[in-house]
Amino acid sequence: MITRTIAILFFAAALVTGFALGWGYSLGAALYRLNAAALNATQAAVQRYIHPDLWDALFVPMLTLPAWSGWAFFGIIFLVIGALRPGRG
Amino acid sequence: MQIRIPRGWEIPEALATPEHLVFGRRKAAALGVGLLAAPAAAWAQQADALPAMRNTRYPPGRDITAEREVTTFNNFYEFGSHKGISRAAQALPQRPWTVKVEGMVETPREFGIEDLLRTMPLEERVYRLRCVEAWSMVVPWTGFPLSALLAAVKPLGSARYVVFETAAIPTVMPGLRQSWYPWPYTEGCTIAEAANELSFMVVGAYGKLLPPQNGGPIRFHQPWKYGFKAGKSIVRIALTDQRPVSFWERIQPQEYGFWANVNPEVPHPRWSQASERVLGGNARVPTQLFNGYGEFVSGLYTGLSNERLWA
Repeated sequence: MITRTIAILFFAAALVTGFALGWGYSLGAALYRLNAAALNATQAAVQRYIHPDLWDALFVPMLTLPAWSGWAFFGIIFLVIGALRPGRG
Repeated sequence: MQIRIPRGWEIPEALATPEHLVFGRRKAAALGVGLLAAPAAAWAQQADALPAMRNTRYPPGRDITAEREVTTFNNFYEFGSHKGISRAAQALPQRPWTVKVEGMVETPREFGIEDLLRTMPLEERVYRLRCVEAWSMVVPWTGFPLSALLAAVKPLGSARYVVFETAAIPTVMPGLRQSWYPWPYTEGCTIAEAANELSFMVVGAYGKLLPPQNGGPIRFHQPWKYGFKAGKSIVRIALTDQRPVSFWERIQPQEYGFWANVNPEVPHPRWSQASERVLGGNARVPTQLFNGYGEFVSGLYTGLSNERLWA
């Protein structure tokens, strides 16, 4: 029940984000609006200290997804967790 | 008997490239003479050559940084936020290339890069470059004073700022996929700073055409400011009466401002600016006010003590 409730909260957050920012507004744009310096520093840290290609190959594709989909992703995760634990969800 | 010891730079006469190949290399290349590997390599070098007389008015006071260091350690955000972008930057087409100069000018014009190379007063200047990240290098740039370019378009008396816009080509610049950043990269300076004799449009380095990773085919450089103020791969220059908000100022205004003059006494919010690592080694040297060019530029800032001149 708890995991299902958390999933519903994430889906609600996805809806709110979609309506508030627009369904095509990217996650990167949302994070940039929230804290541009932190997003920039994260990119620098990944490219300079882990691997340059990691940012372009993994982070950028994720950041170009719609912002609402981030919440929806976690909603799905919690739904799956609930489904894998029948009777205790 | 005369004993002649050859000096280090001397080569046998037989190895010298024949004069007709040097001066007729374009014609020779068109005829397909360059099929042999060795001459082809020689011509490739020659094709990039951009000789110009060195202007010795601005002695750098340090050794010139090795070309390999300068061409493989680059900040060019359109290609990534790391230093190893030189290979990716080769995708940036260098020809054809034009630079629009417009805005508050009498005669807006669009210059082809070849026209600039042919008509502008090219010279070589060895400038220090101080990055805001506390490293530096000394580069023999080839170029021409910005004032020469501005004279060709005749700025209006009401123009107060000059804005430099970098190319934004999504097909070759992976950074542009991050659409949330305020592309294209723009930078700017006051009209007085632009008119200063040190303000330099760079089209070459180390006697060759400027490579794309260093901002080829044309970039800007004001050696008394932090390096991020110098726009690379410029496609547009606009004169305006509005102070521009530049790329980094828009992203992190608390760290990167409009003026960004070098000052060792004013630290970056996250690190000291008192010293700098000279590329090519780990030695640190003290940073100088205005990067050591104060005698040429300090007068530009008289009466501007209320401005944030050092960030």
